[in-house]
Amino acid sequence: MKLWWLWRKREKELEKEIQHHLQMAASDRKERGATFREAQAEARREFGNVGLVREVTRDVWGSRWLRDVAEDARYGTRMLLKNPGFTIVVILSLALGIGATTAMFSVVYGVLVNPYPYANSDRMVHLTVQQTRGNPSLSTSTDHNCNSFGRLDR
Amino acid sequence: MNERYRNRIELLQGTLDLLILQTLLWGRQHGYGISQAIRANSGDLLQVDAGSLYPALHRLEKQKWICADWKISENKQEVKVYRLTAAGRKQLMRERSRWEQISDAIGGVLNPGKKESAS
Repeated sequence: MKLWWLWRKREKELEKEIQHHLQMAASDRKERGATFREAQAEARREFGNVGLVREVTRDVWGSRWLRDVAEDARYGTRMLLKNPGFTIVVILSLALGIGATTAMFSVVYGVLVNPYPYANSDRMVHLTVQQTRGNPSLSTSTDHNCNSFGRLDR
Repeated sequence: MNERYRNRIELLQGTLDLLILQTLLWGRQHGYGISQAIRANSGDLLQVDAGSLYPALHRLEKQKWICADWKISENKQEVKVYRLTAAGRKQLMRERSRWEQISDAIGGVLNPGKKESAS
């Protein structure tokens, strides 16, 4: 916002400078005996293209690309406002496209890629102990199982 | 059209800076005054067009060789006047000696005999 304000100020100052130049040139000519009209026209002719002078002076400020971007954005917006039908179609198709893709991705991600509400769920393993012989109630010591799983982990 | 202006600025850039700095050595001056002074002091030979003058002034201002103030003119108008800074004075000396070197060098090439007899 501040940048914008500075921009406007500098722009106005340049305009004042150019106008002053034109006035001085015209009044010099009037003193030499030209009519008001002649003086004005002659001063303008000598000055050249005011818009162009403004532009090449702005180039020195070095913010040309920013101005160009802003102008392109403004032009784009104006064109969109001028063709509301086209704008609506574009906005709808973008909205539908982005929305559908996002929805699809959310579903795939939630169901297939990362279905568990834990961090690093791809590192989770399911361990079972199968008793192949003897009495099933005897060898299910939790301590013993945990220790052997811990060793597996390493 | 734009290209034409830019070429002209590039062609004049070195010498135009020198002329502006030298003009401001006599005191503060606005853009129109600078162009008139250059014209008058060159016997109407050099006419600086606005498309070169204002970019040059703004460039010199950016390089802090000159600085600008706003003052009110006799007919109650705000006028941007430029003046030379200390750095600008130094730059003027540098550009002057550079210009003298160039003009000596070109003079030497154009009149090779004279140079020999002079040295």
